[in-house]
Amino acid sequence: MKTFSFRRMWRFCRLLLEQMCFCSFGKAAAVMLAVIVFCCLLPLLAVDGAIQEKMSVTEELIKVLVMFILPVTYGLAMSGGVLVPNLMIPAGRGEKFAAAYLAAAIPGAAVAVMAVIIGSGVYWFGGLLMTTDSAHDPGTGQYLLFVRNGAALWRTLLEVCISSTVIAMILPVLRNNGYRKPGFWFGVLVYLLVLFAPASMMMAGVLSRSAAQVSTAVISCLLLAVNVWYSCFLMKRYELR
Amino acid sequence: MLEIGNVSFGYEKNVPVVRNLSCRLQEGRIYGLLGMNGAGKTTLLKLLSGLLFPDSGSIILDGKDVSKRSVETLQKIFYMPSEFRFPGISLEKLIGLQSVFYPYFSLEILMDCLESSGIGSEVKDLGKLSGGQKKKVMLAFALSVRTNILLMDEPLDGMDIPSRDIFRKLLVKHTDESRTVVISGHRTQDMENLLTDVLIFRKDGTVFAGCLEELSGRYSFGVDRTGAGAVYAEPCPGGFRVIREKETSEDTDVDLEMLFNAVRKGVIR
Repeated sequence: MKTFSFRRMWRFCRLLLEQMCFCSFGKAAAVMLAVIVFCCLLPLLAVDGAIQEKMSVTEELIKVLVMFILPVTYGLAMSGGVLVPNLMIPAGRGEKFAAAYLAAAIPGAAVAVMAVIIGSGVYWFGGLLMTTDSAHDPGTGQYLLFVRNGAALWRTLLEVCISSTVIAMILPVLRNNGYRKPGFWFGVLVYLLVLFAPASMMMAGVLSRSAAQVSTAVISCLLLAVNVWYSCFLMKRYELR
Repeated sequence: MLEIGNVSFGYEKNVPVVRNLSCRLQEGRIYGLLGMNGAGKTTLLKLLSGLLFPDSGSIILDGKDVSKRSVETLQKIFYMPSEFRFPGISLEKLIGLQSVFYPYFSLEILMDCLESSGIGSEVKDLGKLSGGQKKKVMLAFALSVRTNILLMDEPLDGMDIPSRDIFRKLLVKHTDESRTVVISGHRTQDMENLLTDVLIFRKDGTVFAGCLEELSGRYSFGVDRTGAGAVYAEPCPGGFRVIREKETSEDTDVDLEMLFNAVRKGVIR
C-alpha cells in the first residue's frame, strides 16, 4: 500500500524552495519588498484620484504578481531546472507533486500577506501626506490593502492557491519529445476559452452577473481538479529524454 | 540484484538504441559500460535508474519494477549524471537537504571522500566550483548515500590525472559486497584494474556482457610479431596486438581496449 509522508513531502518542498532562483530567503524577501513598494508608489504618484482608487490599482498590481507572475516563474524554474534534476530523490510521486505545488503557492501567499503589511504602511503614510485631517482616520482600516474590502484577503489567498495550479500547465513541458507543441498550445487555448466563457457571455448579455460568477466558480473548480489529476498523470509518465 | 529482462528502447520508432538486452547485475560487482559516442550508454543508465521506460521488457530491482519509481526503489538507486548543476548554496546546506532522503547516508564516508579529494567541507557556494571539483563533490555524495545500485555516467570526465587515481581508490574502498556499481566511460585506461565485468555496446544496439575473470580464463591478450591464428589482431609498433584462445594456464590481464574493438567488430560474441 502506498503511503503519503507529510514529513518527506515537506522536506522535498524545502529542497525545491532552496534551489529556486531566489536561493536566499533574505534576498527573496528583499526583492519582494522592493516590488511591493514599487506597486504602491507607482499608483500613489502616477494615478489621479482619491487615495482609495490608488489603493485599488495597487491591489490589482499585486494580484497580477502573486496570481500570475510568481506561479509561472516558479513553475518554469521548477519544471526545467529544479524539479527535473530531483526526480531521483527518494520521495513518492504524490509527495513530489504536492511539494512542487506548495513550493509555488507558499511564495505567493507569503507575498500577499507581506503586501498587506508593507503596502498598508506605505498608504498609511501616503494618506498622512495626501489627505485632509478629517479624511485621514487610521482607526477605520481604510488604508489596509485588501482587508479594507472585508474578506478580500481571503479571496486573494484562495486565488493564489488556485492560480498556483498554473504549474500544472507547465508540467506538460516536462514531456519534452513526447509532447507536441501544437497540442500543448491548443490545450492552453481551450483551457482559457472555457475559463472565460461565462464572463464573455455576461459581457454579451447572455448571462446575468450572478450566473456568470457561479458558472466561473464551478468551471474553475472543475478545471482545478482536471489540472491536478492530469499533472499527476504526466509526472507518473515523465521520462528524462 | 538488478534483473534486466529482454529490454529494448529507442527514442524513435524502429530505431532501437538498446535491443533485447537480458542480463543480471549482481551485488559486489563493478560493471564497466563501454561504447562509442551515441551508442546508448547514458540511455541504458537512465533505463536502469527508472528515468526512462523500456519500450519492451522490464528492469526489476529486488522484485520491483524500477520504472514505478517507488520510494523504496529510489532509496536503493543513485544515479550520477555526466552533466549536472549545483545550486548556489553551501555544501553543508545541500547535504542537509538531500541526505535526509537516504536512510543509509554516512557522514563519515562523505568527509573521507571530500578530504581525499582535497575539497574542504566548508564550501560556501557550490555554484562557483569548477567542473572537476563538482564531480568530486558529487562522487563523494554518491558513495556516502550507500545505495545498493550506483550508476555513474562518465564520472571521470573533467577530472585531472591524480583525481582519477583517487576516484578509483575511493570507489574500491567504499564499495562492499552488497553494492552494484555501473560506470560508463570512453577511456578504458581509467577503468582497468577496477572492473569485474563489462557491458559493451555493439553497433546494432545489442550489448555484450562478460565477466573479466571468465574472459581472462578463456582468452590471452598480448603482442605478437604476426597475427596468425589469433581470434582478433590489430597492428601496433612491433607487430600485432592479439587476442588468442587461451592455450596455457598463464594468466594475462584483459586488455579492455582490444576487447572493446573485438566485440564491436563482431569477432567476440
